[in-house]
Amino acid sequence: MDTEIAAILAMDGIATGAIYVLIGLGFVLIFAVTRVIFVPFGDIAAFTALTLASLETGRSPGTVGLVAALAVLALLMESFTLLKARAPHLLPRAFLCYLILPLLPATAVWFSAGSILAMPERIALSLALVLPIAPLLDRVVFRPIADASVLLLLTVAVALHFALVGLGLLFFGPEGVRTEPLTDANFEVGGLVVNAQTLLIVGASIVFSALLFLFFEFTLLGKALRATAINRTGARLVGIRPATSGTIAYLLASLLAGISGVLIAPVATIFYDSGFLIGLKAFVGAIIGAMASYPMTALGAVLVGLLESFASFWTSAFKEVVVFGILIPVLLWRSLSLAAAEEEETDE
Amino acid sequence: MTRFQLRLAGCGAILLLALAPLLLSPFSITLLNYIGIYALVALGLVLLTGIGGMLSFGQAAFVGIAAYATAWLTVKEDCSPWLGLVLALLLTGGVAAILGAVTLRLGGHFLALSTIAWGLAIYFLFGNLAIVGQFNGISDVPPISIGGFALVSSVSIYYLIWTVLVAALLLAANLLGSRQGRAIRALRGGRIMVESLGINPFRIKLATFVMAALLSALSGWLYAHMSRFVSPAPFDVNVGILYLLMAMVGGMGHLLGAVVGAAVVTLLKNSIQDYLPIIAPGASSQLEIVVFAVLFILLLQRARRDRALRIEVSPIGEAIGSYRGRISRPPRAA
Repeated sequence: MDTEIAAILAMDGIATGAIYVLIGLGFVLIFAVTRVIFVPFGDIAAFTALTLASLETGRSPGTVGLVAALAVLALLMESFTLLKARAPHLLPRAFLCYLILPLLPATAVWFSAGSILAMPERIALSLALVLPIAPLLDRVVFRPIADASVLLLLTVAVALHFALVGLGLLFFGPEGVRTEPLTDANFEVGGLVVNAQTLLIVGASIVFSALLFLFFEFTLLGKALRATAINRTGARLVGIRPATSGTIAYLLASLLAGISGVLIAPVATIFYDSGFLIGLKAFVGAIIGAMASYPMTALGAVLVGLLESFASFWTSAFKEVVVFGILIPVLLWRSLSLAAAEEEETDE
Repeated sequence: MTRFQLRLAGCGAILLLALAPLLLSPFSITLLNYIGIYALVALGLVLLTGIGGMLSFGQAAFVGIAAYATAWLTVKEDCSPWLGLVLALLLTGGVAAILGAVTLRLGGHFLALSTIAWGLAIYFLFGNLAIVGQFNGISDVPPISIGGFALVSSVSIYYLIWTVLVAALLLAANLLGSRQGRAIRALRGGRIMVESLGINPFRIKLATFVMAALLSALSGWLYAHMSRFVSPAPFDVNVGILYLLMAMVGGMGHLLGAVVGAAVVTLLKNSIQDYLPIIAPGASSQLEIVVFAVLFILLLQRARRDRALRIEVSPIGEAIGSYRGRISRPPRAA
């Protein structure tokens, strides 16, 4: 391997890593606020890519059906809870939040049926379509067991992932998709051809990480989320609803996942089940960051991207083995450094 | 039940099992074979999760290591399946010991997550290693033979599978009554309590982990020589979660729950495969996963509050929830 190949691999690795950064940050965000390790998170990214691809060809994306089904289910569950709590006056609000709002983007798709939209509109629409999935899943699956232990929530999340993959095949079909490149400009820097797409990915990742930082540091809502993450009971005492915080965390994280889905769609072929591996690799990054630290997670995710890129050069068949295998030394290091602390906070 | 009645029931059950091939159709015997093979893995999970309080999504990988070890030795090196059993147990035990030594110091969800990761790594290893046939797998695995009699038919291997399973159940029951077994049960009381009793929690965890892996290895060995073919698919992580489902359905707190759970899930899977093509033709194999996943989620949601559900699932909620030995529930959040 000479320096040129190394540079190309490094560039590739950083681009992949940048995508994992966005998903990894989302993982940490959801986990911190809701204590759910949201395994199906990678699926959200894959679904965005698939949605974008269907919009590109003018077909109605499968997301519409998925969101509609989830919205109806969530509304039924919410109405049932409200009626049981003797609060029928809240029904219209539930109707708005769980049925009308999630289905707004779907109606937009309905009206634009047949016509092919411009690229920015397509991207915005696919993001809007995918956004409600995670909060609706939260309402249907996780809200009833919000006080369960982390391990139980994790088990449910793993099961949910398999349900979503099956539904993904049902709604999106088995074909793999690759969308049009967002840009096909190329630059030459010091004898190296740099793809503008790569720059875009890295740029987007940096911008959104920075925005997330600003959000947490300087807005009231961001501080409320942080408060929920630190202590749920304490947050309730100062008037923050953990359930609402959870929904916001899911929305924000879905946005991150959606953006990474849009970014990854032109550079890799995405299938209905591609999300799991993308998500799990981001996860390895999040574990390097101990599921708690945002900067360490970002660093870990870039590391995973680099490792994957170099591994695919040396032993392309074993790149998955290498990427998941890296977790073992990482865990060894983690277990030596903070095992005792982890065990004590297993269930809050 | 008194001890005598218990023994009587046990003898009756064994008698019924022995007579089953005379009473049931060959297809039912094949189903029973699968139930027995799955129950071995589920038994390991009951020990590991239900009694020891550690959650693993990766048991399917251990089944796979054993199945591949014996298939490779018997097909490529032309050895006896019994040597294959030795290799399968050694290899699986070794891998489990290494993985356990690295990951078991971690608490709760980190351990569970790491089982997904190494489960996937091992699955991809099967799919890409040339000497085990990559994604094509290894075919023409020879049957097990006892004293020159080859166990080819499903009835003949049925006796072997269920003998192994009953033996494993008895051994596990004896183990739990022993000093070591009480130490395993104490694990759920939390690290501090275990240590104050003079038990090294890490050693006991590692022993339980390796034991669960060895039970999976037995299952993998039987599977390889029963189906006479191994490929990576049955050792994927989604099968690992199916094993977990079996252990949970059966009731995490009881050894026999492993058998009940394996039976319920296997029969359910079979009837889903029968009926789904009628309800939704075309997409049935994927819908099967959806149905199982949804059932699993419902089970976990219900299990926590509805103890009257009678499928003693609550132990899982409890096993998972009381990792530190806390029985009282935290206040409702929403």
